[in-house]
Amino acid sequence: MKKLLRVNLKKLTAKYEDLPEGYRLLSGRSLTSRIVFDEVSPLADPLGPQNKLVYACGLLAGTGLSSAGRLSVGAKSPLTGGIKESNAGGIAAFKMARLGIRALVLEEQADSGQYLLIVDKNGPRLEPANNLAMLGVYEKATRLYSIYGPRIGAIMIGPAGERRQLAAGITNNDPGGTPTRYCGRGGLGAVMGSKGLLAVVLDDSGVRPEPAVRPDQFNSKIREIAKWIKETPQTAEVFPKYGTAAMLSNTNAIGALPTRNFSRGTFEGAEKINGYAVHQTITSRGGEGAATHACMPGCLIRCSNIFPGKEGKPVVSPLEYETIGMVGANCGIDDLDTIAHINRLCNDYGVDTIEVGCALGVAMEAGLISFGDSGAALRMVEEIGRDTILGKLLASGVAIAGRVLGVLRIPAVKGQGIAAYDPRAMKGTGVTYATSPMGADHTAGNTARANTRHDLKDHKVSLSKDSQLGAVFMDSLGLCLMLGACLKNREILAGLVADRFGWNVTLDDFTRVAEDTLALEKEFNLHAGITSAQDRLPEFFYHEINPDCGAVFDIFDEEMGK
Amino acid sequence: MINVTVEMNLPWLPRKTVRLTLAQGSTITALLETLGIDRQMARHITTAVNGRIRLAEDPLSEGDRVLVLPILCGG
Repeated sequence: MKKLLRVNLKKLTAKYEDLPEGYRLLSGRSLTSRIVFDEVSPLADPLGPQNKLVYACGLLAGTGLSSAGRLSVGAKSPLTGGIKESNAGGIAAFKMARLGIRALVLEEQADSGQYLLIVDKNGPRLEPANNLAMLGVYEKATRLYSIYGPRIGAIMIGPAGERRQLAAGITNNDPGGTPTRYCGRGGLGAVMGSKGLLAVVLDDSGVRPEPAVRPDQFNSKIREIAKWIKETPQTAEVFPKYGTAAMLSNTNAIGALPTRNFSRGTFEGAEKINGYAVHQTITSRGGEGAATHACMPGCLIRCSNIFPGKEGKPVVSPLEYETIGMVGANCGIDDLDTIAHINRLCNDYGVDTIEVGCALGVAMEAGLISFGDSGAALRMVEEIGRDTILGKLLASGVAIAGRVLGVLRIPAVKGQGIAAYDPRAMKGTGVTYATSPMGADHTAGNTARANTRHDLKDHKVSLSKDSQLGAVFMDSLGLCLMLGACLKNREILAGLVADRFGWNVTLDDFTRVAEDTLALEKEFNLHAGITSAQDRLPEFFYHEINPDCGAVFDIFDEEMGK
Repeated sequence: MINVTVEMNLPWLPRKTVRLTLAQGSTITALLETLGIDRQMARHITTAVNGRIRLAEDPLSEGDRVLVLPILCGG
């Protein structure tokens, strides 16, 4: 994986370069952030020609290691105005690795028209793709499979990305061909749309990947991690059976489940939409549904699912905690079918379900529709696809939607919607929302797994810092955060990299990579005009008690700065 | 003695709700031991008491509602 593929949409060129020596240990988030830091002015217009969009796989992608194929995408975010990385499962990172590509950099913008990038064993090429313009993601994927075959990796945007809407994400496909593994956060789909690129096709057929330098040691470590996955209840039982939806019982129990635009932390309809309900619905309907499903080749945790309709046909894959929380409880909706259909629409239009869930919540608070009105919520999301004025408003994210609608309680930090953990009940995650360079991003340092009294402020700043560093570490190796539940040590990960490439590397090297990455992300943001003044939660969290945990968020600026 | 209500919500064990009588000043550790949860298993568990996550060394009181949950993060 020594190649960097540089694609210029203005000159319509696509060329391989050698990865600079200084980037040798970088991959995933550490690589996207480093390239953005080195090559993008912090003052660049995120939707202008000077921004760059970087895709990167992890150093352990394309191997037999479970849960090691996350695709990272990075740029200056049009939503936060700062540096952004968002990652997802799927097969694109696997294919990139097999093709020997560690990073793919998009530069400039097409003067006119839309393009498709195809990468195969013969090299990269750009082709006109106006015939794919404004197609929904599902149809777009079907067309790509019909032309390039069903086994390609496909990175795509939907119509929302083409319209450069701020809630737009970037998706790629899973091993079964479903095209909905979303790098959802931060509006990166709008950046891809601004470049004039609709999709990237990755075809690794006929490519012989390089074997590990020390295959016996490498495979032995892979088997060790597989054993840990099978021995740990979370990764052996909970996630495979109930998926991430299992989290809902936990957050609801402690008043941390955003309910009706964060007005409460416990939802009376929780039993209808929790992990047990998802599992029961999928298994009782049968058909093409699946309660357990791997989003990446070889993943043993299999926390994904395929949620079917009443007739057993797939509606959406996956149906996950964040969507159930933000489109469900946060909107007062207790019907899994409604949540699944809204999820499907968001996937097809190409928008982030967390951002849309937040935006729906403020729309309900503004009185446009009522909390809990499933039909009205569905119709409102359909307006995104029809590109009505209201649809454009929702697709612009919660911060803009809230301001336009005159709502005071807007759950966003640095312009990005807050995820499905109420910061008053889970204060460490609240600190992460406030201080992460990524904006209100739970994946950037969720403290949910910590053994701590989440509703009390003690030690939460240091807990968040450790969690943020842990997240960067995993993101920078392209590893799924779920793997963190069963890892007994991280030295084994450095050992895997050493065995694969024959390098003399230790855990300290990758810890330093994580620290350096977080530091440069903060520095980029500073120069972009994002200072510690923006490291805070919306004001209502500081004075409005969450009645279900009995707390406000009481960690203030000077404490978070320590 | 104190009486507490415990709801077991560990997906790898049967869901059940039980009422337990424990010695005054019993901690969550003592509760888990009474439930037959060993230290190995306890590493994967978190406990909410009256809707608040509490630690192994925290004491229980008369009438407490305890929810035993797996340690998780969502996505």
